[in-house]
Amino acid sequence: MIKYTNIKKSFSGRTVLNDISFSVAEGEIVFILGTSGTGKSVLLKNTVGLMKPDSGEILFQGTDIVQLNEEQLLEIRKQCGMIFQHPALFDSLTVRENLAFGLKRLKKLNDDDIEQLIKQSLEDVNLSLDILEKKPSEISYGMQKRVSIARTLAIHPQVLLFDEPTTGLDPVTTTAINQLIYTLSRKHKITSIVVSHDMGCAIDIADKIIVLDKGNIIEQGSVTEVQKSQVPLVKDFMLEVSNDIS
Amino acid sequence: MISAKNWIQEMGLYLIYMEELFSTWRKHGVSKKLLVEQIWKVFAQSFTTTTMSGVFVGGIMTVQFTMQIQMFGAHGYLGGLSTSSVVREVGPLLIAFMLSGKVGAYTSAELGSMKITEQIDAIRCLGANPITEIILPRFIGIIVASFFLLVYGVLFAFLGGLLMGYLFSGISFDEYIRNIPQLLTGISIAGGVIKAFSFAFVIAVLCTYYGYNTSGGAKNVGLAVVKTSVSTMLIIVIMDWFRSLLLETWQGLFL
Ligand SMILES: Nc1ncnc2c1ncn2[C@@H]1O[C@H](COP(=O)(O)OP(=O)(O)OP(=O)(O)O)[C@@H](O)[C@H]1O
Ligand SMILES: [Mg+2]
Repeated sequence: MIKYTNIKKSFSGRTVLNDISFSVAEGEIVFILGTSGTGKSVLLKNTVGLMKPDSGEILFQGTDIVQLNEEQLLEIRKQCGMIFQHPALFDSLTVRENLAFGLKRLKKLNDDDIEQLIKQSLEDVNLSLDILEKKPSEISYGMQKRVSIARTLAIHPQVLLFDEPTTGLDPVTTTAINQLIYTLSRKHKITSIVVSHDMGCAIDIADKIIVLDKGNIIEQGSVTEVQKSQVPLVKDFMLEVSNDIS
Repeated sequence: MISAKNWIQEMGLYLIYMEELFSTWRKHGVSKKLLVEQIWKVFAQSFTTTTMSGVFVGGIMTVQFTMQIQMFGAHGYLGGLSTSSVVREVGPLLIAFMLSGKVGAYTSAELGSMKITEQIDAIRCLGANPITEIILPRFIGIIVASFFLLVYGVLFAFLGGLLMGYLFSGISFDEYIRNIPQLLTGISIAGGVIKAFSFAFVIAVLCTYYGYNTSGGAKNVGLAVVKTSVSTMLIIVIMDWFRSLLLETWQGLFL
């Protein structure tokens, strides 16, 4: 579905991604873990053309998205939705208008269909409809993050890129979001790439785990493979999980 | 602080940015609804301050001119002198400072925080163009609103002058107004409008440029605001100097 080949990216001489290659199959849930500042967000942004890598190729169903211009990228963004690390809701618009934003532009639907999708997507993230007329500043951070997820879900992309979807959320909501990602993958064949710090979640639902450090992939494989890893940083991540359980 | 080479580089970047704005404008246009919203917002933000400073500046000009005019017994020209200098010189500069301090700083902080909280990225991902949806309405809004603010500010400066002329200099309203048409020529009005327009243009370019190009954390939003105000002031002062230089030469040649 998506194939990254030799992705390199640096900012004013400082290398952030150094030769990243991996691939993601349809319906798969891939977790990307790594410490702060290793370029996880940068990697996701490259996937939808918000940034261009300095070199390398990103094939999305056979199309190299690195070569596409902003107009051609719209087609990709319909199929590949990104959920940002920040809630990234538009402050001046209500929750309803935020949710309708992409539906109007990417999908050009009529008002009834939009209303339907808005309600459905809010339900998907366990939010009640009475926040629809509120501004983002009037709801809690956790709710903002969920509205942000709903905004992307409403477009019904085939691929979802989550940038730390559960960071800052309570455990109940965290479980609900992970459950949602799992259901989307198993029921609707939605492919998900999830950037996270949470090895526990990764072990629960990932098909594949990739661990980044200083712009390099230091470990990748299935959950069982990564659990057996001898790489020090990966072992640290694992330790975190066993500490949580005990 | 900033070396000459950096300055030239920076100017080049402004030009590239402007070219991007205008080509996007030509290609995609801009929503009238968003534009009206922004014009109103800029106007509303500067409304009270413009009223207040208009009245006081008008008053100050009148007091200043009164002291000079008394020596020549030319009281009748007070209204004309005061009004025309507000229109030509003080008004546009005043509006520029107001716009830069309030609207310019506000806009660059607003855009900067939209940038670092990934709202601009989200706009692109949801199928919209941030230049047409966010930048252009603000950019054009500032320029158009500055014209209205100028008219409005000058009106209040006139009222302030009129009042002060009556209270301080003992000149009747009639006398104050009588010679205005004689001194307030079409050229001085045009000069004032062009000046206000070019200052507003500079502010609009810089505040959207620095806001839109913010990256990193919250600290950089503050930095964007600082860069906006410093370079706005600098460029406005240089422009004004350059304009007076041109005017001097021009007058020397033709008069
Ligand atoms: N637009 C940009 N301009 C310059 N540097 C950038 C830009 N975006 C990211 N960086 C730099 O790239 C590096 C990686 O950033 P990134 O946001 O991808 O980290 P991350 O792995 O997502 O970290 P975190 O877990 O804290 O979100 C950081 O050092 C950041 O400063
Ligand atoms: Mg990140």
